[in-house]
Amino acid sequence: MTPVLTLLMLLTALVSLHVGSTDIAVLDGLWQWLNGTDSAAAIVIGEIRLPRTLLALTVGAALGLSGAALQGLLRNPLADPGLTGASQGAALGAASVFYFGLFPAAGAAAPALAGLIGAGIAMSLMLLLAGPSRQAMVIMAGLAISTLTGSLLAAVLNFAPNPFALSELVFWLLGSVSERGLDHLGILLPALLIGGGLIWSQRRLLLGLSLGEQVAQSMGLSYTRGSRLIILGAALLVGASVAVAGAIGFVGLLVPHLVRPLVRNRPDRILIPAALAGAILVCLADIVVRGLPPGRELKLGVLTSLIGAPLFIWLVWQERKRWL
Amino acid sequence: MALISIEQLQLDSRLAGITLSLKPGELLGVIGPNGAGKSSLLECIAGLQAYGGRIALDGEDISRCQGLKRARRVALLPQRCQSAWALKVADVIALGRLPWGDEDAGLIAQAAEQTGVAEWLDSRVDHLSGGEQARVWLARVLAGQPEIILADEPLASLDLHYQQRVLELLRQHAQGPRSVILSIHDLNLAAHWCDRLVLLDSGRVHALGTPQEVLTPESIRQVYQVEAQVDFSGERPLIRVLG
Repeated sequence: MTPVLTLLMLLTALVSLHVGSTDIAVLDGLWQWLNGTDSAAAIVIGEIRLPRTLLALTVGAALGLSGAALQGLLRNPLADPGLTGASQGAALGAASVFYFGLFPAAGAAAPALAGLIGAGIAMSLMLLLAGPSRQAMVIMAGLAISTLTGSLLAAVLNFAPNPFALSELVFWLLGSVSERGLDHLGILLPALLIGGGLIWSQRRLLLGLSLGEQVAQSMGLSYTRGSRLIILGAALLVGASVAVAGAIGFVGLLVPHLVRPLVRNRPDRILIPAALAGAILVCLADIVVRGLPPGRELKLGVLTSLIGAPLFIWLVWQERKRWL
Repeated sequence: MALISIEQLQLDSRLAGITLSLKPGELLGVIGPNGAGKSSLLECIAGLQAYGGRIALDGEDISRCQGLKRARRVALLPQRCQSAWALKVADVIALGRLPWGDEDAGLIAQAAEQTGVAEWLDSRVDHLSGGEQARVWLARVLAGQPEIILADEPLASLDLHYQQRVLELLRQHAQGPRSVILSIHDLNLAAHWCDRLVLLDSGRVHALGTPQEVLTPESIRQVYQVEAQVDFSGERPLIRVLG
């Protein structure tokens, strides 16, 4: 399954490089950019479309992977980085940097850094609140922490220094991969590798947890240590992607559902397919955004939410049927 | 030598100074009223609880044999089990191989064969009935080929047929170097199937020995507060609650 998804991802990336307001030869432009030639095609590909495509792919991969990991850890198919408070925490962290100029020493990486810290704090608070109890509590605690970070975010917006800064931040929060450079990849890619590595190292725990904490522990897997590593990994992935691209909703929730049937519902085998499918999905959504009629751009995060929310309702409906 | 020897096992208010041993080839039944500490005892041996006292495996302190190493030798079949995902039966049984880090197809097929779930290997476990699922959970444990199985009330919610089947499998496992500790409520089944019984009451060992030694009308009255008639003269032991 992984090779097919990899191929699809490469195809999507190629299409993404082709789509744009000007018609240019993609491969020539790429070649010229790599050679350092100063042509129009090289600038369009190298400065605009390539960063956009790569960011869409990495953000999607990070979100898909974190969703799969969190659903596995919490044993809950409705778990989403957003429902655990991580994305809101990341948004609050990054927004605080915009306004209060935190971490000036970190320079351009400051929002991402604050996003990571915000996501980490929100998730730790959520787990602290949920305690060792069962899955339902995690969702409740996540909701509580999301509400808290949401209200703090509102407070930050409230005290915005000026209306321009306010609208800039609101648009940033809506989620997008446009107007960003390859330097943002310098934040996302390490986060994807480290976060993904942490989660990958705990794939056996994710499988063992299918039958509950007790069974996983009795099979010699360390739940306490492993769950911390998974949460740290997910916080890295979500924090970095929200810090770079704003809130791109529902990808982390839905992607695991799309690929689960392909891996016989196994929570350990879902990780890489979920990352690949997330990358494909976000890149496709970004292609759609670019293909819409010119005018005020529909933000990527708005599009994914518009598509994702009805699917979420459908998922809740399916879950309901399971328990009836 | 004892396979497992437990000395002065303490667990907050749940277990108070349990001392007992498990011999190779033995099926040891743990009986007692609700809250007597049956599950806690099994959880301590399985490494799920931080206890006081000493548990030794083959004469060596079990805390030296942690994680995957312990899991290869001691497997827990919990009281309640549910798969969070709609896994195939084959994948659930393969979970038993986790401590070994492989998915040995031969052992998985063998465990499925033993428990009679081979025909459902490709079915989703959540589509099976409670009794069928119970056998799948047991197959998962058997696939790991542990020396010791800790079965926590595996008969709960099973009909008579499946109760019989599960007990046969556990009895079959407790041969040669392998043993089973079984927590069980049904005293008649306990008396018939187990080599020895340990009767727990409020976290303490009330009686330990052969079924005939442990299941006396007096000990049943003291622990369960019911009058019972006990008859070991027939082919099967008979414990009947009076009144």
